[in-house]
Amino acid sequence: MLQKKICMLGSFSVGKTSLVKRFVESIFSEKYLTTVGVKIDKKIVPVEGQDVTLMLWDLYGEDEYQKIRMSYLRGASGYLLVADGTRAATVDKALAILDEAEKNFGKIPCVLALNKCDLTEEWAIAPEREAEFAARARHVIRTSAKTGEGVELAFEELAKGMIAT
Amino acid sequence: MGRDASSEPNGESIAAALLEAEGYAAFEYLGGGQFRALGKPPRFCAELLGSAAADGAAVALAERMPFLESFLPDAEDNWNSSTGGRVESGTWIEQADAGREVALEASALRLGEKRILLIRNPQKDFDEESGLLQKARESALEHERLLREIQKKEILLHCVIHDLTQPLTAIRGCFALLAAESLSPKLQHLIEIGQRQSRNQEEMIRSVLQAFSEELAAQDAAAHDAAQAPDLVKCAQQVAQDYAGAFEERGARIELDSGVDLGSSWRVVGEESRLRRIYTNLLENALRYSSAGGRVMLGAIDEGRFVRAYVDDEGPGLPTGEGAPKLFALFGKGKEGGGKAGLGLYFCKITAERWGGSIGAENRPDRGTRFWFRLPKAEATVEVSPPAAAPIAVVKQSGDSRSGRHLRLLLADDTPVNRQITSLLLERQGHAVLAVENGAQALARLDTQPFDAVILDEEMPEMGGLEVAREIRKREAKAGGHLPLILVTGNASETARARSRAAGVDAHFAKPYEDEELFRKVAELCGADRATPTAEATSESTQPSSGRVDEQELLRRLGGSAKMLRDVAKIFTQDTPKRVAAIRKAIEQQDGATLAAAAHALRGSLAMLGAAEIAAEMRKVESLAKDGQVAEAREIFASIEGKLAAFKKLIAGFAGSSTKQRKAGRADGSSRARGKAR
Repeated sequence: MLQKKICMLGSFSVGKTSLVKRFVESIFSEKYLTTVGVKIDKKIVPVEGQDVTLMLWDLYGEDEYQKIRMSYLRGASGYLLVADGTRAATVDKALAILDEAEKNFGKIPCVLALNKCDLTEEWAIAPEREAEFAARARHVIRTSAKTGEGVELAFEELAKGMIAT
Repeated sequence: MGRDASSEPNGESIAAALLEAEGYAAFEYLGGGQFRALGKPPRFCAELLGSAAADGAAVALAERMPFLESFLPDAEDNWNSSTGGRVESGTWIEQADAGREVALEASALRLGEKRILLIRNPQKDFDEESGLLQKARESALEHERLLREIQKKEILLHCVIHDLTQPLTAIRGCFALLAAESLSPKLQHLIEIGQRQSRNQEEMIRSVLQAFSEELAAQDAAAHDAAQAPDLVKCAQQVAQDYAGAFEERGARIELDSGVDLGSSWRVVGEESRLRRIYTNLLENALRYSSAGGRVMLGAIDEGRFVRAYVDDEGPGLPTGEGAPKLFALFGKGKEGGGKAGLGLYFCKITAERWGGSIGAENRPDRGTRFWFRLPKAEATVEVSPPAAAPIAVVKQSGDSRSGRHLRLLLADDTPVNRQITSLLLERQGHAVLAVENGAQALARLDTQPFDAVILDEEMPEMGGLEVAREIRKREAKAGGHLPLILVTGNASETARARSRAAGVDAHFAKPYEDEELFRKVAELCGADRATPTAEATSESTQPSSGRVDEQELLRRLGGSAKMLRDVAKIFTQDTPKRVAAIRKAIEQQDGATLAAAAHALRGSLAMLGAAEIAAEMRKVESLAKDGQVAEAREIFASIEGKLAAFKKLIAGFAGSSTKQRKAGRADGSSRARGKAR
């Protein structure tokens, strides 16, 4: 069976682990538990008529305390960039990580998930910025690990992109 | 007596025992992704790998632990390198039985010819590190949240203060008109006091705003010349004189403590106007709690390197349990919640502290409260804050207002009324003005003809003012030159000004601004400063009065040209229905962004034509729309539609006969009369 490695990239507390848990286990917790190190989950999904094993590498969020090791991205077929839609700076951070990744490993399919879209009153990303991001990522999708909105779509679109390349 | 050689521990077994004792699982790399377990595996390894971890067993580790797939190339590089050493993998998590998470770390090293991979479970270190990182990130998130809250409050304050200054414009306008009347010397004197106080008021409001800005709070100090240090006691005396009337009205007295030595120098670190404001705020507070027959005493105590100033009142004293920290906190108002938005005492606190002093309050032994503040004595250069912003004054040239070079100016503003008025005003100064609707058009014009300066509205469709500025500076970085750029915006905050500076803007004009200030700045930036030196500051406002359309003021602004007034009125009358339709459509479609843009444009025209009250409501619509609160914005818009329609009708009247306008127009509200007649 086809196996593809996806790296979850982004700043801390943007919802990478929550998105993985929602996608793999259909669960969500409000409690914030920071990820230390790397966790790997897997899920088999049908993509364009064939089953694909997605190996989801949930990497710790990059900040002043921990910087992502590029070696973790080795062999990745796609990136799910995750940003917190209520913290505009996390989008720039996600794109900066993408720049670094592409410098090391070239361009591969990626989807930018603007997470926490259920927090409408605190949303901090202007619509015109979303259009800017679309030029960088294959898709820009508003997601909510809490409600599930956009989560399946984000992984599906990324999987399609990975199969196509 | 020799020992049996076969029972002697050899190097390998010692090593294996050591590794086991230290909790390491050791594997030898066989190549092709295969490893052979060495020695007895620690418990975690047996738990995760089962029999594959048995001593001597071969296992494709990366298949069992996918993380190692990314580490293996680094490990191989290390094993194959001649320098040797050790490479670490970083931490990863495996799931053992029952979902238990096991933290692991791997390292690759070479021992002789053997390529060794060590895996260990640093659970204790991992738990500790996780705990620390958890706390650090929670703190970081809380910090971000607080910054956002502070930013929201700042924005609110800016809006509140901006709206507070609007009526002052009307007040100053009325004073200016009264000053022009033939009044008795006594009334003229009272008008002068009113004009001075309204200027002081505006200066105070703007300085309070500055005091809350992040940039000012981040700056801790500036140099101060001891020769210009204010005299604290003299300042107290002046403020006491100013407030004597107010206390008298209450039947109370305000006095300087007779024990204060007036012959001594009471110079302190600080700045005169802000020191006066500290006293003003404290006296306001004292006045509030003074009753008939009461007395407020001002005094000062020499405390060596410091001076302690105090304001004693005979009021009810501090409420029980109400500490000074709460009184002086931002928006803190004390038990009864009286006073104005809780800003005054906070201002006193942050000002005194910025000057290296302190402030407090305590109950007096007999009765009442003592509010005090302590400031360092002014000696050789000490660090204080930069001087407060100069009061906004209109500089009226006593000579020909068209003196100076005639400039070629490019004006970009998406609001037709604003474009028309600003163009006319600049043309009156003798300049040639080309007006365009947006930033993209401005850039296109710059490609085809030269200009001496560009005036840009900040918010425009297609390309806003800041974007244009950045693009111009980018071009200049390659081609050279420096075109003066002036940005006109509704945002007066320091953050907005910093943004303008960062974009390369030379001057940032926040609405409402004085037209003369704009003219002067344009001339200054273009090196075309006016030759006429006899400028005198007056209190005359060039802004139309608030709430009512002052036709005479509008006409005066437009150079007395009835034709210009008709043209402007016509543009407004034609443009407004389109704006209103756009607003209604945006509301229907729940499109916050479009609604905000349409409200912004209409607000600009309304402000230009003197409908300050409706403009203020439209600002609320704009602000709510930007936040996505379309329903709330709709309600406010619905509440002003009637006023807007009436105003449009009024302006439409100006677009009619000029003779009728000249006969009907008077500053005292003839426009009202016309409105009523309809």
